[in-house]
Amino acid sequence: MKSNSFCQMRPQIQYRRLVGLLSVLVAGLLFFAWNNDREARLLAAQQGNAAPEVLISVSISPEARVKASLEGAPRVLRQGEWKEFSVTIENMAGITSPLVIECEQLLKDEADQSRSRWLRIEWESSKPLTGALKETRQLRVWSRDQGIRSAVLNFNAGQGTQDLGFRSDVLLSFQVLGKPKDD
Amino acid sequence: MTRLTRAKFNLLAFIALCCLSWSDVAIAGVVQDSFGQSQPSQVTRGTADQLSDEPVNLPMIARVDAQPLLLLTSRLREAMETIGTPLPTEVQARIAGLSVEDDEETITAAIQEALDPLCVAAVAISAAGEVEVTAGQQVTVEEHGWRVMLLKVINHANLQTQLQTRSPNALPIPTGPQDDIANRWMLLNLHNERPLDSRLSGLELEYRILLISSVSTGRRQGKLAFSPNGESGQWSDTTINVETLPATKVEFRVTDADGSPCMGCFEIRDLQGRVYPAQPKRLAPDFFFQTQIYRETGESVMLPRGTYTVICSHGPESIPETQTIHIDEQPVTIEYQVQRWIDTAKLGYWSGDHHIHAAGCLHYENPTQGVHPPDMLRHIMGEDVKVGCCLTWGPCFDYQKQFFTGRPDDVSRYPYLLRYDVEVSGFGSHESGHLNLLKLSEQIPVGGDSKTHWPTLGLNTLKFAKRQGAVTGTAHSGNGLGQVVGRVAGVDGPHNLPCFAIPAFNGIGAHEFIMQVTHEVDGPNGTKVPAIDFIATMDTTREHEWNIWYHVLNCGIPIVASGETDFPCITGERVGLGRVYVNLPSMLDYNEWVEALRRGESYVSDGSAHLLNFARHADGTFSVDVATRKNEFPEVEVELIANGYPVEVQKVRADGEMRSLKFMAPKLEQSSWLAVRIFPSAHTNPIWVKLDDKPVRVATSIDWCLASLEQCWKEKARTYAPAEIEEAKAAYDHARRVYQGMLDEIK
Repeated sequence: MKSNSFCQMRPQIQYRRLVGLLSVLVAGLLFFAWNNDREARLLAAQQGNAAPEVLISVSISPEARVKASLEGAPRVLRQGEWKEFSVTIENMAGITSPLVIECEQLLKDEADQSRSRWLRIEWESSKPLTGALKETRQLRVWSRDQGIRSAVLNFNAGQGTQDLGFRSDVLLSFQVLGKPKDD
Repeated sequence: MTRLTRAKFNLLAFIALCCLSWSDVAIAGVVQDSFGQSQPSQVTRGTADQLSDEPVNLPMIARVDAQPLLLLTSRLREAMETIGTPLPTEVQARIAGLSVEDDEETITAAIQEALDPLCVAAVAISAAGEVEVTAGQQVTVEEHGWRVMLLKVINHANLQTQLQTRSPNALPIPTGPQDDIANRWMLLNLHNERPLDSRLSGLELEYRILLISSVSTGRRQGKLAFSPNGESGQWSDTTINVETLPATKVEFRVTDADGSPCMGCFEIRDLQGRVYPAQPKRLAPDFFFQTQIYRETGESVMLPRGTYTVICSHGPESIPETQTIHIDEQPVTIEYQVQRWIDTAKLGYWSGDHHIHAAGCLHYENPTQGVHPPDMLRHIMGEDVKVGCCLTWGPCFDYQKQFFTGRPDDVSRYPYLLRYDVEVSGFGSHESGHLNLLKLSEQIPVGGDSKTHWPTLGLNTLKFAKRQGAVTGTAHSGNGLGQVVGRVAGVDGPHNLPCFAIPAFNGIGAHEFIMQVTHEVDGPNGTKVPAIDFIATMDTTREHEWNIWYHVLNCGIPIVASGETDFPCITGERVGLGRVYVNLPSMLDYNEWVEALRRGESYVSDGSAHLLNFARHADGTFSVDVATRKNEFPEVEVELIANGYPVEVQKVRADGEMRSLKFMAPKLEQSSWLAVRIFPSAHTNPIWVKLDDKPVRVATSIDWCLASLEQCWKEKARTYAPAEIEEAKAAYDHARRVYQGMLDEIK
């Protein structure tokens, strides 16, 4: 029987060595993080999450008025890369119409060079809601540009269902990092 | 008093004092005063409509990306408009002239030149997160009122946090030491509501909205501190100058066209277009989501010295009048006598809105759960809605249910009647289409005292209501009828009326209705009565709501139309945007009114067009008295329709004059219903004409109803509780047999 095997050391020593090992790892990680720029760290933290973070919550009132609110997901993108977010839907009306997103900042085509449009999204606009009280859908976002970019996403579940007082849309600004080669 | 209860008391006292100071309104002749702690000061009077000409030197940014800057500025402009403080016209024009394709340095400079003079301060956040605040424009605020100012934010750190503000001058008075009371004169509020994002965008330059008020008059200096995230050590402040102008009492004297007292609707703006009283600080009876207020003789509002335009009106039957008033130290009276282009009540038609709410949607839930009967009465009086059906529904149900009495509310003032009933919305059978239940004697079914035990099958809801002799109908009927899933054979008419596309039935409008119209249920005495009486119209897409109505009528089912607003859900603009005008020969009585509505002795309208006395004569001709007043159109088309298709069209000038129109006897090939409409503003209920004593049966419409019934079942079967699913199946089977029987009858 080997006396110096890690598993057979006295618990106190094991603990000290484990802490020491972890400290080195943490210090290394911190050093690594410190040497990356602040924006890249934000993006890395965001990408490290297994499930897409919730960017927007949509609430459909019993009167079928659609209201959208921004949630806490960091609004950081990488130029030219798709980023996936979650959108939670609370459907108090139990309606089964599709939930549509409209946005004036969407690029019209590949060649679109307008400075007022910069965004692509992937969203199942024709898929009906299930009618369940809670459901979650994925929203994929892509930016042509780098820098701060803003957009207004408007949600509706059919003609005239937008809630009043701008409550059916969200104004959101993304911090769009440059392509990796530019970092 | 324990420490806890004293703290609670202090908090309540503070909230109460804040409420007092927010409401610069005087109701029923009682002028609400501000804080009692106002300190004497030398008053130098300016005017509310002037800004200082002194140059403002705030830190400048050389260039930011144009796309976010222009979009954020556009939303800022909308936010200012929403809270009744539009940006000055010249500023708006300057911003509107900028294009995203312009040079970014030019855009950045132009926006700062336009908006900086409107800023009370600039907050600069360095790349390291250090904060520096620079004072800007002097603030002129009216006593009891709120001034909306801009705040410039220079954000070199690209933070996307929620900016925080505070001031030692804005600390609560009730909990403060005696020797600091005089310093606590300011009220401060960063406005982060829609359409703004409550968080900073991260852009190096943006503008936010700051609301400032003072509880004492005169000149003051105060501190304004800001932090990008509210953390200690991250705060920086500056000193600003605030001049508070004493307010003057402005009284109202309001009379109807015939000299009788009435409630007027007033929209008050200063020369910069700012709305008074300040919308973000309103409590009932003034609604924060409206620009107008409602006042009658003897009531008042407090305004600071200045010049104002006041748009006065009294519902859509009045001709709006604009007055300019100059306020000085002396009390002023606004005299308004209503000018009408029509008075339908004097012609025997009593207006009503069968679907308004005192809670939910745009209403607040704090400090009260919705608003109260006197508030709702004020609004229906101000918009000249003779009957307001205030429906308790999901939000705040257990608070609002106390106002149900089974009769017009005691606050009603003839000829204005306010009655509480129920919309099944947010509970029970709501998922298969909302139902309006009018003239209930029992508000809640047996088995509970709230909203959790109601049936999920709409037909069962109707049975509960009909046993009491209620009048029942759909709500926001066109909702869920916009998307198309198929089509049956048939010829679409003008305006897509009728239209043979099959809607998705995936919303909360007239859905289960397609089944309900085939049913009779027990009435109060056990006699069979139609399960549903009316289809709600005038608040959703006209083609969708009228189309399903036409198809049901084409099956010979005598459903009538009523008019509603669904205030403040479909709109918070005002009550009575959709109306039903009910013909009563003598005095207005609620029960008679709603029963005449049920019988269809009425027309529906948005208030701009009227179709009175629609009649068929012995020689087969038709007549109707028409009056319409539209600023945007010189004339309108008045259509006589048979089974949904126009058979004769006449043009009428939209000048408000009443004209009697005659229509020739249409050549009918089958039994028909006939009505007159002015699309999309008004519609009469139908007159039925039988040929050879046969009922109306239009085969293509029966096909449409059958296909729609199947689509509705497909969508709504899942919404029925297991205990009711068999009943639901049987109810739909019954409807299938009825429609199929009609088709067999034709064959």
